[in-house]
Amino acid sequence: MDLIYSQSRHPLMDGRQLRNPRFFQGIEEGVKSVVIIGNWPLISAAYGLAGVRVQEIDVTPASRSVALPPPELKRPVPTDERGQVYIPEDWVGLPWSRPTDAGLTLRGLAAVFADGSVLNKTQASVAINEELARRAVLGVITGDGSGQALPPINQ
Amino acid sequence: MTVALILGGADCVYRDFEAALDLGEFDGVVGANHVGITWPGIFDAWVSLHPDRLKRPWVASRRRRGLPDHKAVITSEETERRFPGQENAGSSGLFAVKVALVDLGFDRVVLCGVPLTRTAHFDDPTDWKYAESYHEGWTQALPHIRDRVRSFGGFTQQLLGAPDAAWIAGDS
Repeated sequence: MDLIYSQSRHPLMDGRQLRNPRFFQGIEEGVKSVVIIGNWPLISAAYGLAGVRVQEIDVTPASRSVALPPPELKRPVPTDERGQVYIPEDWVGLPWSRPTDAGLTLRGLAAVFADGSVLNKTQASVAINEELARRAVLGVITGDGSGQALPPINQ
Repeated sequence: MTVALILGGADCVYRDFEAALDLGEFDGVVGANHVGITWPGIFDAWVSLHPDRLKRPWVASRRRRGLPDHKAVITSEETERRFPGQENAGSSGLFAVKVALVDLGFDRVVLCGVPLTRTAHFDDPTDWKYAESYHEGWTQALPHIRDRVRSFGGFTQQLLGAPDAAWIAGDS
């Protein structure tokens, strides 16, 4: 299904189902592509995050400056890929937010394993310990990083 | 001592959130209005002065995205909408402060995306032309918030000051 969000008739609406952007309540299932007429950044962002192809028409430059969630907030690492992320043995001693030479922080590491945002060391430790426990059950290699597909995470 | 983050709707909200976590650790998050629809984490409370919108379309919109419910939904139907002595409205941002400090019992809060200036929302590029109309409410609430609230920008930062690592840690 292809949709067009527009508040008036538009030449691009042929072959697409029309939606009024003023009444947008969330993305629709089964949509392959979306054309958005005018400044509707929330609609664009919502479909974009869902992987739907979005074409924006008649968008003023100002609307493109609208903030969106930073990558670590909007796209947590999928569970089946988390086992490949390196966890150093001394992760407990990592700084909370100010990176040292390697750039690794407790907050940045925990964000990989948490589905929501991590606000403090306690939450970070819970997220990392849960990942370590999951790895222990699955027999995932940990420790010095050998066999790890991904490098340490920089924040 | 406990410190909460308040998330508002200004276009600086995500930048402020990152800046806050660069400064220190926090014990909770209270979000006001639209930001709760798409925020991937779980708020301690999702608040609004628009109960008709929050409790129906906004909650439903978040669920349609497959995101977990926030711990609590608190509107002006569940609690007092203002601080004692505050006669004018201060927007849902000040209501979020009141909920965090009074209803949830946090000791301090840091404002992210609550500048109360004529600037864009994170989901709407047009300037918020009503911002100044809420300033008086914040000024009236000063006895309750002066020592317990800091902000990352705008009018609220001019009124209350900016947070730093020592203040967030309770050392000052």
